[in-house]
Amino acid sequence: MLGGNSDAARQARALGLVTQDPGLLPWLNVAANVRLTLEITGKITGANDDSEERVAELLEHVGIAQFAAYFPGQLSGGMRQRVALARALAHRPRLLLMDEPFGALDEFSREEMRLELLRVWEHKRTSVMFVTHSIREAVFLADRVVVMNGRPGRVTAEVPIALERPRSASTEELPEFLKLVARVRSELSAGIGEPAARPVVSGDPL
Amino acid sequence: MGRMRRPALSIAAPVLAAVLILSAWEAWVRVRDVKEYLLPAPSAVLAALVDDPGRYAEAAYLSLQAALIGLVVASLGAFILAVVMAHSRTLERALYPPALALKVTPIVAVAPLFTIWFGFGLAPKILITAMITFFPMLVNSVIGLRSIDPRAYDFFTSLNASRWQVFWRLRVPSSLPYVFAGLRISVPLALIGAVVAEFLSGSPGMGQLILIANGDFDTPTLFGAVFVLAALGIILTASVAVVERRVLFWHDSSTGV
Repeated sequence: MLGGNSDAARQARALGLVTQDPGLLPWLNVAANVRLTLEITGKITGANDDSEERVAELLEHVGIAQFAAYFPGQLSGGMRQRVALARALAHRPRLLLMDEPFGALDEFSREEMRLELLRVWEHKRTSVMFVTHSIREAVFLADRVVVMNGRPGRVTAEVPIALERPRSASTEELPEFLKLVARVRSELSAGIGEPAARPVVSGDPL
Repeated sequence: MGRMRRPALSIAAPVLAAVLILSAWEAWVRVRDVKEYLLPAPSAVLAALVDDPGRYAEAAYLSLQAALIGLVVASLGAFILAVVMAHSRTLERALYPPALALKVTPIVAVAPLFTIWFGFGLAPKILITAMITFFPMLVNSVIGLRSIDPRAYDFFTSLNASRWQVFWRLRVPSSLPYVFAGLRISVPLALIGAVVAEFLSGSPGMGQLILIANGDFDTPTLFGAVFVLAALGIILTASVAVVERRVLFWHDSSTGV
């Protein structure tokens, strides 16, 4: 996908990672957590240190600029996922890996974060691989949904999602949306074992 | 993170408890007319303290000095060894037995030997204090350095972070709650270590003060020394707690006592 295996992509710092529990560093405030990515990936150089502006810009993009000085323990789950997203995007990765990022959120935050993710994506256009157990979430976000089944884990179907962008909350009420949800569901139940859907949102062709 | 602290009560409660205990003690001694050399009343202990405060202050200074230096030496040494042990299970297995052997060595057995080796000065006291506090600091540091959040580690890995970055930015901060737990255990131990060293070797300090008072059947002075040590222990432990609350503001433990 990135012209090599996963280790090579990691070493090239081409990946951004957001997981269900993102493991923010509780002793660093929001801005410092995001700045850490720049530091680890060597983007902070003494001569022209623009890290302050870059962090501020990232926090602005994910809508938490006013929480820069807060610590993770003071934030809600949705807020923490916004920090995780900003942190994962800071070094401008070519691929954003999101593993059930909204899985631990309540329904309202979840819907809000879906829209938020699309909004950020419209701006950044980074390719995203998004793993989820929610069929609606998969169809709502993706350009392509790759359906996986367990025992043994394998890809059992691939469903292109031709819904118009930019998408909004009303997208979920379109008849095409509901048809696609039904289609992915039937592909899933065609396999046996634990269902898992793996949609792909892509900015440029992968 | 919501902290519910009532400062007035958190100070008043322990003071009230101390006053009650001392009053009961005083009443008991007066009512039963207990001989002073057996158990002096708190008022008699206070009289002994006021009689020659300089003597206690000097002894306390010497003991405190040995306790603090010993504790710092042990903590730094333990942390460095913990880094090595947390790095490799093989090295941990190799180094754990000698560390444990140091822990179970009876101080009573080695204290006179240390006096022969290093004389009556500060060195043997520091050594004994360090011996007592080394093990709890080591165990806590090793556990702390291993207690990193696997999710945070995954994130560091996804960015291809170096071992050095993982160590300084993740392992060391993660270990601090455990290091502070170790300090809470070790601070009183350090004082005991210094006093025991003085008691066994007869070198100047609170231990020697107790030793002499004991020989003279000067029980009020003996209790005076115990009171001073108790006060030192409380002050030191409280200081650690204050620093801990500032450093570990992000950790659950900092909201408790």
